[in-house]
Amino acid sequence: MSDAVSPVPPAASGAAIEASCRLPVLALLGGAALWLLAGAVAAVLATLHFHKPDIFADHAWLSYGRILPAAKHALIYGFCLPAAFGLALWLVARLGQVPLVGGYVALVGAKLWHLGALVGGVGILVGAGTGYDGFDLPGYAAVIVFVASLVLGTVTLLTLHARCRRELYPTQWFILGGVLWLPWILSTALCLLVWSPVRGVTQAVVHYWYLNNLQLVVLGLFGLGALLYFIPKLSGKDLPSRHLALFTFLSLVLFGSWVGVPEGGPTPAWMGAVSSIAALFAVVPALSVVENLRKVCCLRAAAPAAKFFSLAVAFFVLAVLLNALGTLPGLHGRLEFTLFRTAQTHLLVAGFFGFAALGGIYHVLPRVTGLDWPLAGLVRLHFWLALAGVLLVAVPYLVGGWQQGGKLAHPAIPFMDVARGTLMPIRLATLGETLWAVGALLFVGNVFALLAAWARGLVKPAVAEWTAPVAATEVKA
Amino acid sequence: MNAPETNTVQPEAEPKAGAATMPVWLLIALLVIFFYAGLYFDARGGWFNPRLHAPYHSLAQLEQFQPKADDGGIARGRAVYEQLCAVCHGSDGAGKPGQAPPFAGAEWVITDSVGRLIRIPLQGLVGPIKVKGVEWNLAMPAMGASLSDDDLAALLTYMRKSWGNQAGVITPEMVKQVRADTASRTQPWTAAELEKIP
Amino acid sequence: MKHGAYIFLASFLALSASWCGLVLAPQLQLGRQTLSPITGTTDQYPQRRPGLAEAGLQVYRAQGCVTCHSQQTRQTGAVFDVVLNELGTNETAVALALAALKVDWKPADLQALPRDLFRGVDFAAADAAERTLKPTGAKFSIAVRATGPDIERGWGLRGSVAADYLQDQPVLLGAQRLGPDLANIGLRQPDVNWHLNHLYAPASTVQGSTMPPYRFLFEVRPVGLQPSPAALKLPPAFAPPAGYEVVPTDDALALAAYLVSLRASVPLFEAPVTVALPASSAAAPAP
Repeated sequence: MSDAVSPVPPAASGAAIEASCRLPVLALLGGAALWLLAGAVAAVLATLHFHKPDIFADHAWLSYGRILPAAKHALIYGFCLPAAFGLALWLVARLGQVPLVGGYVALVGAKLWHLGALVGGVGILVGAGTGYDGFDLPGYAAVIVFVASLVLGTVTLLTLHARCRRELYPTQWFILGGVLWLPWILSTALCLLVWSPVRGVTQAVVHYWYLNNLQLVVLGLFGLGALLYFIPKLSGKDLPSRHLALFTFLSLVLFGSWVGVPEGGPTPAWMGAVSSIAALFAVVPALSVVENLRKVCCLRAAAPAAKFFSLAVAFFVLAVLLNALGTLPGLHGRLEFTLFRTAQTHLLVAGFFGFAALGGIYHVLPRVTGLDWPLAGLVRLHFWLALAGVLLVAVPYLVGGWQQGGKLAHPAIPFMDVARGTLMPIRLATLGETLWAVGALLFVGNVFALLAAWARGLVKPAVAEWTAPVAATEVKA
Repeated sequence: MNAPETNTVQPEAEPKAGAATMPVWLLIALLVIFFYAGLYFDARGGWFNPRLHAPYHSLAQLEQFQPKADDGGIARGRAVYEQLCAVCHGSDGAGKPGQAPPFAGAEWVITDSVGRLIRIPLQGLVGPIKVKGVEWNLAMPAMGASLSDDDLAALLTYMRKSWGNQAGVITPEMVKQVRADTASRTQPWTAAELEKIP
Repeated sequence: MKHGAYIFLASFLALSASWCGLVLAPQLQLGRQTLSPITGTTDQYPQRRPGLAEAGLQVYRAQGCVTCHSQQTRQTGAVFDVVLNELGTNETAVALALAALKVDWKPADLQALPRDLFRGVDFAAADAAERTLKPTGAKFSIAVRATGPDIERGWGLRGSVAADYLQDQPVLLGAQRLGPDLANIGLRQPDVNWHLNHLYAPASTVQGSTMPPYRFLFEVRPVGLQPSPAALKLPPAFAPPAGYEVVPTDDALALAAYLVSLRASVPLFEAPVTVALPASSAAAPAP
């Protein structure tokens, strides 16, 4: 299998590579755009409960306990993970300079994933959810999603294996890690939480492990892998250090995967302590990524996607630092159960991965379809709306959560004060989620205008051929 | 704008990973975190013991907090009360209107005529009864019939020493005596019958 | 491909290490956990919830109550209280012991027993008190009391431990406190009717509540020949129009039964506590 023995196949043309991954990438990314909008609308509806508590009191599917998990489900399983796979397929094909192996299989996988996510979302809204944050989709939907992840992962691995350019670029390691880890954690959660639940509080530990590995490690691997390609690409320079990228990769998988179990809870003390320590260590991959990408910062690049990528790095560092905050003496337990934790998750999923994925989609779709964005001005507008949206959710939640924690720590303060203190941050978050939703709407408009233009481009030559006047010489008398 | 370069025959140039060395400060940061993490785990980790929950640091410390002094059976009595009686009479002994009379400050609980109190859980109580000036007319099942003498004594002692009650202990011998005296009784008691007991 | 193989191996080892550490190890440690004895008794804990309450747990899950409510109390410390219950026969010895322990007492105090000697002390002080008082023949109790904001807020008598969740599936510990913690709500609000009223109209039971009403768990229907015994008794501001009554559905009854069954304050080895509850005040308990 070493390079010296087998001849390297001739590199395929750029057009052939793009054509090979067109259909699955369009299916994944187009669907992801719709899910982004659906999740954003659901999130707005969720925050409305804190303006007027009885606003949806007669509709079970709109109650806070169902619409908020549905929004999170749409964001992670509808937008983030399909976007991750879409970008991963495109990246392994391009970086390996080989057409995608099994494009039609990948297309089936993409459709299967969206089907599973849809069934899951509906399941949550009708009350069939598992109850676990970040894994609320019912078991039957999770199976579909798991099978789809295997299919898409297999296509990715086969493409990696068949690559022409033998030298691995760091992005490919990250994608390899993500594609391996996602089915693993999904199947573990499915087996140990749904099909054959483990006993007692062990369920909660498995859930904590799964949620963290999904949000920090899997999304971190796919997101950082994408950023390590896109940022140097847009700045026109090489990635400074391979060693630093390897260090980032190994420290993320080694340390990041142990975060998640809170301290002080009903689990044995060592689990929470180990997770807190891992949260401290998880700062290291963030620092190393910043150090690596510092010199190839693409913030000033002309491409509108460049801003998305730069902010994604910033959000990653911020989210990881905030997570490590709970280990500082004096802050133990103060931030638990508050909106602070919600903010940190939001910065990680919507901030870091959302921005990386949006930037990636804005970069990839024109290349895959061969067309420019039809509503190009909206891309910049989307960026500012998304940024305002994320900040207007995260900042009120950080400040409000900090105060909420302080009040919870003083038993003399009645709980009613604590509860009423959360109203203002969530009301402000309505504004943030609305801006995010408007941005998502523009995004969906742009994506489907592009897809329509591409479809017209396919159909036009065929139509022209059918409607062309027949030459006189061809008409039989 | 983004001119997509998909029409070239040759694949476009992709970024390469350079060979710059890792900065030393990153490794130093890693070592500092290792050191802090070691101290952290030592202080808060309980060294992987599955029975240690926060805030206890060690099994030895947890052992120190186990009850051992003679407390007149309060702990045991409390546990029995929580499991058997609290559902209706409330963990705070305040009772529930229409469901169960209160125990806090109730004359039937702190009475010196302990025979009356012991009979109620042993055989049950029906019919009208006045507790703290309020008339109750319900049916109390013989909740204590299946308890051992020790458990029932601990339970009643707990009730007589909680929620502001300050009455004397009930010993297992007292319970045993009452059990023997009422061995042939199958019907629940009425308040009138109980009041005849010294 | 060699380079890729090493990277695959390294990532596989690193990721499987976390699986071993946070999935396998907890399963090995806690996966075969069974009932634990309540300290000082032969009773086992936790008992399985009654059938209606188990059904209520599924309603709790389906309605997503975990989105706002946590179900775990936290304990940040444990202290001792030493209480003198009875003098015994040798009052002089007791007086000497109290002087040795530097307790500030007057002869009148010794008649008004039981009396707190020390409140909130550490093990060393409690141990010294025990060793000094035991030979005097006095009856004293050393109670273990949990400390922490959750405990002092009245949300429980001790921190939640693993044994509390043994019978539950799913275990919904919760990560937000937009509403109060529910681990011991069955102790604070043991009345099923309070919970039904709270679910239908939270503001009727807790003034200023931010909780959304769960009206879809109830049925507002015309009163039949007689009012239904299950109909909710609501304050006028929340009552249905005249001639109508609010009746809980099976889901609401199950959920209320589940909430009333939530109590986790028995003493266990992992969570020692020995305090009797104080007498309740006339006002309703705080949520």
